[in-house]
Amino acid sequence: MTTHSPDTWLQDYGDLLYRYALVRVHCKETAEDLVQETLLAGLKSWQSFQHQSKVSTWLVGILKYKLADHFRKQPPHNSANEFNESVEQVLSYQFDQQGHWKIDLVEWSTADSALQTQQLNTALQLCLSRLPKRMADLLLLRAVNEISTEECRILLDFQSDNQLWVALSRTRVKLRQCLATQSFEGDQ
Amino acid sequence: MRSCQAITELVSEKIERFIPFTAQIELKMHLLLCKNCRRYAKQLQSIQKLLIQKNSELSNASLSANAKKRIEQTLTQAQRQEK
Repeated sequence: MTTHSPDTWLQDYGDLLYRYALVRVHCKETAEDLVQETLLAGLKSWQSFQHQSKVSTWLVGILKYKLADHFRKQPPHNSANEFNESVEQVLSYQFDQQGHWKIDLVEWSTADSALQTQQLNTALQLCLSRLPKRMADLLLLRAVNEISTEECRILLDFQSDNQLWVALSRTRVKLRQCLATQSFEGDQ
Repeated sequence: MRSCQAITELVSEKIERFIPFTAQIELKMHLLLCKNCRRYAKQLQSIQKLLIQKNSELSNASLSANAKKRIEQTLTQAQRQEK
């Protein structure tokens, strides 16, 4: 019986692996490459697969290793200092020494037409691209239900949950300010 | 009592996890009284909604025919080399 023969892996599990990778890396090409690498690695170790788990589970396991590699290979967080400085700049523009607002936030109109939604998404894309990759990754990973805090912490190399919350809060400061300028009238 | 800046940090944290009951109360009271923080909270929620939408589109994606073909070829080649 060769019902699980590698020949049909791509048909059977290709999309499953692709989605798993895509929601984590947010880049089609990278996700495709990861699927290919996973299936190749699967082929190599197919003989030693013990059939103790489903083939799909086993392949996702391999993909997890590939994903960890992918994030590890990202350039080191050399832009961290620059990012922190730019966040401090926004914060000191927004708050006084006591942490009170120095500016007034303008209410965002709700995107009720398709065009507005599209414009907003374009602005979001632009603003995400202006963040350090690690911070954009962090925000996006946290917006996927099935990805746990722990997985996020490990993939992006944070030491503690607390570090993660702080980074998220600071990243949102930047993203919100960018969106306010790009898409709405800005703050006053 | 938290400052507005500290409240904005709490607003972000609340998106991520369950925050202690007392902090929830303080947040609620503060937002009730402070227009800027209220707007900040609403804007972060809008951003979060957009991000979630973006992701849910991705989770319905499938490999393009081209990508499938390319991967198929690479796999066949690799299998041939194995043998």
